[in-house]
Amino acid sequence: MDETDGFGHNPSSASAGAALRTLKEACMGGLLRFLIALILGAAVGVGSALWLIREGPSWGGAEVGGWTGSIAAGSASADPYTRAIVAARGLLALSANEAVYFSRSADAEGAPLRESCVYRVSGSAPPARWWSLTAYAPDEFLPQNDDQALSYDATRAGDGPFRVQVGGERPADGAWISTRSAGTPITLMLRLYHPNPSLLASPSDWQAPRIETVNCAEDGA
Amino acid sequence: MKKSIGFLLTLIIAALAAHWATVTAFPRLAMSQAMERLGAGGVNAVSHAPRTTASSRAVVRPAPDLLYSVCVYDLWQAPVIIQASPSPGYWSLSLYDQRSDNFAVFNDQTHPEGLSVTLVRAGAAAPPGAGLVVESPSRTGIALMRRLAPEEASFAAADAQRQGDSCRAAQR
Repeated sequence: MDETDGFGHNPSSASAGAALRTLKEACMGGLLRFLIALILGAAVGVGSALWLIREGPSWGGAEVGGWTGSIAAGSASADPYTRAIVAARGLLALSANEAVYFSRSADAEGAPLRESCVYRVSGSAPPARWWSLTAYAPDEFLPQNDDQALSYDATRAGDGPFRVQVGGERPADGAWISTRSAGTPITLMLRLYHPNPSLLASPSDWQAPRIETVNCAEDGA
Repeated sequence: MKKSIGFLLTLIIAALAAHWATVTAFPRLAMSQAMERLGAGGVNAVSHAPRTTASSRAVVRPAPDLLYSVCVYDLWQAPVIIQASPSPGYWSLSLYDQRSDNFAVFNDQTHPEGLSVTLVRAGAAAPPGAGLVVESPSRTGIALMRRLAPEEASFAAADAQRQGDSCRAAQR
């Protein structure tokens, strides 16, 4: 039986072809949407993870007087976020019984630590066999200067209370950590080697060092 | 509506999967990069880092008060024997696996005379006569020796002492 129309076309095969084309377009459209969603999702996932690891707040750490540290850093019991953050900001950290690390990037008022400001860091001797305080640039490395004043430690401070000036110029007297060419924000890191067991048991009982702003270049002080 | 829900669901699942994969893979990637930099002189060999200065860039947040020696180990062919010499004041030998976990640490208080550690793969037999044996959770990793050296005098003493450190594959 002839099913062609007056122009020699078969109407049923034409509609089947149209349906096939529609189906094909729908599939292609769906696949395209799926791929776009997949790529966008992957970008969001990788981006958010890298931001959290490199720039985000410390994860699961103890906060003491504005200093943040993680008792689990370096250990097998660390959760994946702590492990990733430590890998980015302090790879090869020791486990807590050997050393604990506290960092802070703001003064006592909460303002970011800036290269153009001078700070006074003071407190009682941290509860550890040995400790040191170091300033780091935003790239997580030491400030690029030749002032020979990269850190301050228990060897120089002794067993009692300590006070050290942190800034771009050497003070007339007293201890100094140079932040010249550090950039902003600066991070101060306190390393406590062989911390007292009481600190590990109850970090919040510790009176952490205080960071006071002495002056800033913009103040004209 | 149905298409939008499907799009959003796909996006959320892909984002969660990529986020988690990045977080879990990051420490291994960071360790691989560190091992490449620190092990440039060869694996299963000690390399003494110069005194930390403002231009030190091998590892993030270096401590200027410490003197570092490092051995990138690979247990593929044989266990590795690491010897750490004692040093005046604080010193330690710490072992890190491929995931960046510090799975063992020894120091001047646990071993005042220094120590020799035989590192083996998890579940592998130690060579006969091996003293202190430690299992590494991964085939490769980093052994790091830290010595307190905040001043010139302590730096010179620690630098002299660390010449006795070694890291080598055990004889089969």
